[in-house]
Amino acid sequence: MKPFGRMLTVLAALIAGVALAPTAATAAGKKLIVIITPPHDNPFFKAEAVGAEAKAKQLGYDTLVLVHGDDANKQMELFDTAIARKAAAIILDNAGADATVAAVQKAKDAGIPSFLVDREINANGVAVAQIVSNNYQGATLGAEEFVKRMGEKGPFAELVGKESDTNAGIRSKGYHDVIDQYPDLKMVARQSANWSQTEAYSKTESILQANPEIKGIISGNDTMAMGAMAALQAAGRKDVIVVGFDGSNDVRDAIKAKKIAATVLQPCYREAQYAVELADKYIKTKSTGKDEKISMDCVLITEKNAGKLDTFTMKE
Amino acid sequence: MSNGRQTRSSPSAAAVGASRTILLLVSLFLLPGCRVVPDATQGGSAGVSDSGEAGASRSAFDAPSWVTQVWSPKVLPHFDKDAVDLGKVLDALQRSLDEAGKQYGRRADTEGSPWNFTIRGAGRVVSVNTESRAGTAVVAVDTAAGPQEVTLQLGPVVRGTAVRDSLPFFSFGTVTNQIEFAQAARALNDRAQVDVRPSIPAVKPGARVEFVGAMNVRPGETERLVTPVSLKPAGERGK
Repeated sequence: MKPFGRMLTVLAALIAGVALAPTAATAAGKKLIVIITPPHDNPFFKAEAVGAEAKAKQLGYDTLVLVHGDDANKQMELFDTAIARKAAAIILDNAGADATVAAVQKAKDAGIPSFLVDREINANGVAVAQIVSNNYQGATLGAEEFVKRMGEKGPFAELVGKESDTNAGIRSKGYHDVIDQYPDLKMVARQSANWSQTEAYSKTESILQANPEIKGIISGNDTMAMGAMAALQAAGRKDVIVVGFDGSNDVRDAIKAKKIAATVLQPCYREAQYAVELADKYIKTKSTGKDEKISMDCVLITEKNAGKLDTFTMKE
Repeated sequence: MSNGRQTRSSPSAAAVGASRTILLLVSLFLLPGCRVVPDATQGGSAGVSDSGEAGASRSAFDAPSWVTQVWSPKVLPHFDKDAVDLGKVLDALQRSLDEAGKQYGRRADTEGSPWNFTIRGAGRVVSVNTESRAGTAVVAVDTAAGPQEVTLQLGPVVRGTAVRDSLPFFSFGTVTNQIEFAQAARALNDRAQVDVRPSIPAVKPGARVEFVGAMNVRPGETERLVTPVSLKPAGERGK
């Protein structure tokens, strides 16, 4: 009785195992690429996910698109899902430069390579590739245009991004590396608006009250630039130069309408596609043939080329 | 991670070889120290401080010291040896950026990177703008197809990363992160200015100048922006 019961259990487990295995590899025998990004309410992350998914489908993969909500614990759960589903590769815009290392390592230990886009992690040799926009180079481009439009002089304010995000600091440093070489440009206010449009609106309102003399606002991203622009319009200030960062369609339209001077395009759609191409190559040949860390240059967007920008991509 | 260098075959003199060996040893000693990475969880204090310093400020990579170490033993020999005639490059660029790049330039092994040209050229100064702190001179450079205009950066503010991008022994993979990569470019530009500034009073409309430097070119760009590492008044065209 007892041995028989045990045998049944073993048999049941075996059957379950056999039954489960095919579902793990998906019905049509296609391999799976799991795409994990921050939430899609920011069009930037949506463009990444859409770009990666389109490329993966084109290359014959099944896809699973997930969002981690900038929560490292949630991200770890999503990695567990990817591991359980026996993903062939993970494409990731991560939820923290330090916290993500463990998740990527866990996938690596399970034989699943990760390909990172947009944000770096603080470890080399864990992910197969880290494709990041050169935020610093982009920031210097934005700052050079800002300086030019300001005529190299005058008081200005800076809106900084979420301080826990390394890109906020990197962009600010890039801005200052350029601007601080011009002694006649004076920063009279510097505040974080946490990447948020509404926060940027209220911060800009109060900056305008305290420092009505400002001639320019340089912003760490496009959503904050949109908030600043709205506050300037509400205050009837058409003379203030605004520069953003990201290359969103909203800011593109504001540049065309001469309400924002410039932004800096991060080619995130292409980066995500590139990550999938490298993943495909790695799956097939066990090598990407490239360095782990790949930096992609940003592009300055002004009135001259705004017409070519669409969904974080420059049309030829 | 793999080695990010793109090297050209470079038969070097014994002295250069020896200094390279020393440099390599120094690098081997220094580079592991570079792998100090900013702690993003402390971004509040390290990411954006009042001084505008970003996270990697605690990193061990000190760009100005690095430039001091490599300028004479590696950077100057590179420009001396690798610089190609700007006239030839400009003529080739008229035809095709990619062809010109393949023939005369180099490019980081990444999509979207500019073509970089290490060049030497001579020409007549057309105009000078030193009112901007990012001072420039437009120079009509001698080419086989006649003079072509380039914009020569005079400083004191020098834009771009052309000098860094021209170095065959340095790439993004050599350093820990994009901040160090940018700091290297800035420190190289600053060092180049030290050598270039004494000649700037001689850069006047009508004067002839000769220079060695670097130039990045992206698709669609029409301005040819040259960052000089050496600049001096030239005699009349005699060769």
